[in-house]
Amino acid sequence: MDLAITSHALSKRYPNGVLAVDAVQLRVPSGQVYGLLGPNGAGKTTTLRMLVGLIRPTGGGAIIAGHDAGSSESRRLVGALLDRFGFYPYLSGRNNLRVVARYCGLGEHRIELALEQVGMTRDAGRRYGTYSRGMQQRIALAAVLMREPAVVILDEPTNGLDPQGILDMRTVVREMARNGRTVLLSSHHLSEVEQVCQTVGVINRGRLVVEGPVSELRGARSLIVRAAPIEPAARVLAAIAGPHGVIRRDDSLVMTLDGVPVPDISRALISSGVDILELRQQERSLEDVFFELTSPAEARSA
Amino acid sequence: MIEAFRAEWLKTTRRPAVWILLGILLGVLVFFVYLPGWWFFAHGPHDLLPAGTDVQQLKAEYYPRLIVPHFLSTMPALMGAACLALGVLSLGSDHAWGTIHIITSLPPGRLASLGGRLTVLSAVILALDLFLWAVAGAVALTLAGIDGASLAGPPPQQLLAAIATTWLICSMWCSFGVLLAAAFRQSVVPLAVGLLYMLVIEGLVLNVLGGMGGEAVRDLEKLLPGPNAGALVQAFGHGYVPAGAQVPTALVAAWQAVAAVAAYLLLFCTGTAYFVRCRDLT
Repeated sequence: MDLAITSHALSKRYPNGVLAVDAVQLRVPSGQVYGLLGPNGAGKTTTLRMLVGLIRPTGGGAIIAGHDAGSSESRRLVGALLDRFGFYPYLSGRNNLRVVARYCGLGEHRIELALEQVGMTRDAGRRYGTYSRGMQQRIALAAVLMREPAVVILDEPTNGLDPQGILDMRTVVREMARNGRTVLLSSHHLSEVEQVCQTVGVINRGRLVVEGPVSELRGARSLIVRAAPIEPAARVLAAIAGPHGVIRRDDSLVMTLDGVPVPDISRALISSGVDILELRQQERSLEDVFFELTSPAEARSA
Repeated sequence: MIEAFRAEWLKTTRRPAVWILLGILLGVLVFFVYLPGWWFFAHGPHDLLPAGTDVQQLKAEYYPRLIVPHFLSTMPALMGAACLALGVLSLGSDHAWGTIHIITSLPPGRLASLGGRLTVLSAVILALDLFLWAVAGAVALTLAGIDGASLAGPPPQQLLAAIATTWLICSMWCSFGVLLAAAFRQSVVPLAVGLLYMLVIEGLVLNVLGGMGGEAVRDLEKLLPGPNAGALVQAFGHGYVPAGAQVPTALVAAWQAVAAVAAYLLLFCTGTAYFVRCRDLT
């Protein structure tokens, strides 16, 4: 698998002794949308800032598209929208983009293209200080898009946006991935991550606790079966899924679906003379996985 | 660094605060440094002046011939304070608005963007310097014309040296402002600290202590930026001193003052580069 971002024992200990990021090993596949999840204070923002070069690691390092994170080569390839972004309030949206374009040595035509992409052409002449939060976010996104970066890093990109803004941001992120860019985003919105990301990493207390494709993390789907009588039903299901593939929960049976078509299961139950009262597929959400991984052990057992 | 210069030029020259500072300095130059004094010596009650004062000589200070000592007697200190504010605002606002995070993540890198910023600031200061000297020249010519006095100006070399001196002093104070902004990562505290140091500690406390005859204080002053800037200005001479009044003496030689101010400029820029390069942007 071609990787756009890799980190090796990436660590940051602040001068006050706080270990914000502890030996994180990220593997972000090229051309995918990767979601970095974690509770507040988990180390997501510090990790992203180290990748962009705003914070220097105290241990390990990261490579972005073959270059050291934070080097001038990697900065050319990375476009970042960070949580504490800001622009000059006295300049218009267009002139703010012009500042970024000049810093990057880009032509004027890129500014107009980017404004069009984020739907800000009409308001680009207004002072940035008069923009709503959503419009400010669009200008920030235009500043990223204008540079046509190979890797895009977005820190909580939908924070403070209204539902339409969230939807638009999601569309833009998908569009970027479709155009072959790698997107690394951090978010608190698990459903959003679930919708746009192919791969996720969960970070907790500075450590990357799990990383993998969303489908793998959710695990196999399960089938809830309520049937009467329940004993013969359990035997039928065990014959299909194996003895460890079925568990009894109250008056239901929970069976792990491992590629077996549900109609086949239903036919097997009926032919064994069992009455089916309920047959329902259940899928673990990313939220379930997230809370399993980030809640303290005592909270989980409770 | 050219990219950074172009970007910094855009955001600096479009900033209202820069134009407000220019307007304030222009107002001070015309309405405090030139017009009130000239008006008083031309029309005022001269019996308020000490006996033996030559009013014509005092008026002559407002004419082109003496533009250099007259301009340098007040403007470098005021322009220095304004340039310190300019330096603080330039970098401090980037921290306050969060724009520093964007700039730092862009290709040129931390030091190149700082280089662009400092170059733009020095260019803006030069433009400010030339503009104010030009306005002073125009006002002096007008006043001399009104009084029917000679319109001849100072020797060109002296004028050029004076313009360069003003630029050097203002650049030094501006770089001090940038350094404070880099250290404090905001605008308000560095502005207060910078002006407090410049106007109160150097301008008042040390002057008072030095006037009380403390030799140690005078030795200390020889090492500080403000007194060296003052000594540099004094090297251009002074205006009319009434008979019996004390002629001001320079603290250090002109060459030493130039070296000290230039060294401070370099030191402040290096200190800023250290902060900008080494500190995390959390």
